[in-house]
This record gives sequence, C-alpha cells and structure tokens, in this order.
Amino acid sequence: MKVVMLVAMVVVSVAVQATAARVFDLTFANIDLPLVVVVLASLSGGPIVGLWVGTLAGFLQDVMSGGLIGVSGLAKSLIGVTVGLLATRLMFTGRWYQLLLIVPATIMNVVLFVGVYRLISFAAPAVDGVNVLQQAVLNVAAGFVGIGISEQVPSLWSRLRRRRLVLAIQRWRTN
Amino acid sequence: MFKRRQRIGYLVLAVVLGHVILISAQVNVRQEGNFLQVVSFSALAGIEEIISYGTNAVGTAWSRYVSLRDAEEENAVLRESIDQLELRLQQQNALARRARSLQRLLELRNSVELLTLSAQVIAVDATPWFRTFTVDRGTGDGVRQDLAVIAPSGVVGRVVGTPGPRAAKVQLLIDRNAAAGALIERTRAAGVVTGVDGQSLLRMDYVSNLEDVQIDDAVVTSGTDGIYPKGFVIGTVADVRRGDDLYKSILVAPVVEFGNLEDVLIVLHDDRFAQAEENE
Repeated sequence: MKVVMLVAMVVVSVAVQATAARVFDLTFANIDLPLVVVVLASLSGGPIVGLWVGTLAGFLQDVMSGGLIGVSGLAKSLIGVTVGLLATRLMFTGRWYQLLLIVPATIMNVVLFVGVYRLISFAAPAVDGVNVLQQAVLNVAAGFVGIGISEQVPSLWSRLRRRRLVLAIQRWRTN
Repeated sequence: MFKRRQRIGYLVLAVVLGHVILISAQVNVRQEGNFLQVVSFSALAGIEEIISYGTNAVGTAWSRYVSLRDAEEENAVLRESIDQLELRLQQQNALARRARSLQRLLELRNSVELLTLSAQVIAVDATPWFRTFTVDRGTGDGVRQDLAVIAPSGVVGRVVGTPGPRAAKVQLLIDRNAAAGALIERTRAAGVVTGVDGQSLLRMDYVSNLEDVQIDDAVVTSGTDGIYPKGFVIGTVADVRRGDDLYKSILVAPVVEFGNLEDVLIVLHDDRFAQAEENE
C-alpha cells in the first residue's frame, strides 16, 4: 500500500509539474515537485526508499523532458540516498529542519544534473545562481504545502467518516 | 547494522551503474527510442492528458459561465473588429491573388502543398532545463520523429524522440539544442537559427559580415534542413552586430509566443521534401 502511495505521489508530481507549468507559465516551471517528493519520502522512509523514489521520479522526469534519459534519475536517486542517510544520522525531527533540507537538495540536484551533461560533453544548460535560489525557495514552499496537505488529509477523512456515522445514527433514530 | 549499510552501498552502486549504462547507450545512439522509454512516455502522457483536460474544463467553465459580466460590451467591440478584419481580409485576398498570378507568371518557385495535422499542447517539459512540450497526437495519427511543428504565426519546432501512439514530444525552436536553416527574407542571406540557453531570443549564425542585415528584417525558414518547410516566418531581427570573425552576431525575436501556445499544426507532408526523397 505504501509503495503504491509513493508511486502515485511521484507520478502525480511529475504530471502536475508538466501540466501546471503550462498553465502558470515559467514561474511554476522553476519548481521541481518531484524533487520535493523525493526529499519528503527519503526523510520519512530512509535511504532505500529515497533511492527508489529518486530513481523513479528522475526517470519519469527525463521521459517527459527533452534531455537524456537517466540524468535526472541519477541525480535524484543520489539525493534520495543522501537525504535518507542524513535523516537517519542527524534525526531531523522539526518540520522546518526537514523543509530546509530541500535547499541543499535543490543545489545538489542542479550540480549533479549540469555536471553529468558537462562530463559527457553534451550541451550543458547554463546555471544561473539566482534561478537556483529561486527554485530552492519555491521548492521549500511546495514542501510546506505538501506537508500541510499530508497532515490534513487523514484528519479531514476521519472527520468526514465521523460525520457520516452521526448522520446515519440520526437517520436510524428518526426511523 | 553493517549488513544493512553494505546492502545500501551495493544498491546505490547498482543504481548508479544502471544510470551510467543507460546514459552511455543514448550518447552513442541518440536517435533510437527504446521500448521502456516509449511505454513510460505514453503512459505518463495519458495521465497528463487527463489532467490537462481537467484544467481546461475548469477554465472553460469559468470563462463561459462565471466571467460573463462584460460580455455585451465585449461583443460590440468584437463586432467592430470583425468588420475591420473582413475589410482587411478582402485586401489580403486581393494581394494574394496578385501574388499568385505573379508567382505563376515568373515561375519563381514550386507551389507548396502542406498536409498538416492539428494537435493540442497537453504538457510542457517536466524539468526547467529544456524547452519541449507534449502534444496529444502520436504514431497513431501518422506523427513521426523530425516532423515540423508550426503555428498560424510561425515556426514552433519539431517532433523529437520516438512518439507514443497518442502523444509526441516537440522541441521548441528556443531550446538550446534546436536549430533551423533560415534566410533573411529581404536579402536572402542564409544562416542557421539556434536557441539560446535561458533566453527567449534566437541566435542566427553563419551570416557573413558582408551581408546587409537590418533590425526588424523578417527571418524565414530556408528549407535546407529537410525538416521545416521553406518560407515560414521564424521572427524578426532584434539585434545585429558585426562579428569579430567572418560572421555577423544576430539576435532574432521569435514571432510565436511560446508561453501561450495551446494548439499547433504538425506538418505531415511537404511536397518538395517528398519530391526530393523520390529523386534520391
């Protein structure tokens, strides 16, 4: 069940990244939603979960982009392992500490992505420091929203179920 | 504990090796599309299509039912603009008739018959590094690699990678890896237009310093690349300088607004290319 949830989250993040970027133009395109999912999954599941989630997210991102297949996958799988190992070693319990990990993860993603392209002598994308920082900030914001949603959904679901139960009891009493 | 660490190490090594092999395979044979890539692309494109239709439906509902407050005033303005456009259309038709008769008379070039297919943009690139988008047409509609993609205003790009049955990836002309054979329409000076990384402008290379190029000159496709049909508008010259070597440094502002593209045309067939292929 957990695996299905993680796969669904990755697929949805890539799909939303690609479709919403069209609606919101370039500002949204600078967010890396799959990276946020990788970091959050690695923090909660450890290095092995981070590795697989990173591999899947990167692979799907590569498939849906104009670049070489495997470059994002390599970068994101290494980020997943690193964040997972850091989470188990340094015990990031506070939400803010967890979210701030997205900043070095974003920088690591850019360095690995551009580094691989430079290494294989393909036309490497130009790196703009301001853009990277902007992406890091937007990723942290997306992570904040993501954590908020993931915390609210179970309580909303249980509240809905409780309300349904109360309504059913009321109906039963009136009958 | 040691075993767990060892397991993670082996796993990381295996995954990294797998990625390196995958990347190396593509660096050697970039043109071939593998099965896994095509299947994943098609599956994800399907999901994106559903999400795209969802967002479009919400947008349509909003524009049709919610934001109708200024419809009457807008209607009057639109009627007026239709009248003006009809007048302009008549003028254009007259010009076109004249141009056609002149063309026939002088036999300057063959008539170009383009078979096109309309397609809807369903997603853009999933990374901020490349300028590509996904359209809802694929091999099932006759789409294949390297077909030109155009919009009513001008050239958009070309189909890259192996298309899925119902989706294809389009590389925009502003992508840093994109290029097209081009001409300065006024002087017929030939060159190559390429995308510039991180910019919305294009660069036109290999135009001699001896050529006459001015700002606002129209840049059109030359048709020499075998992808884009000849004579389609790419943009206008935004900046031109004498280069240090043999060639001018030219920046071109594209006519197509790539951020607002919703529908495009895929050029399935160009008579001249077909003739050239037959001759070969």
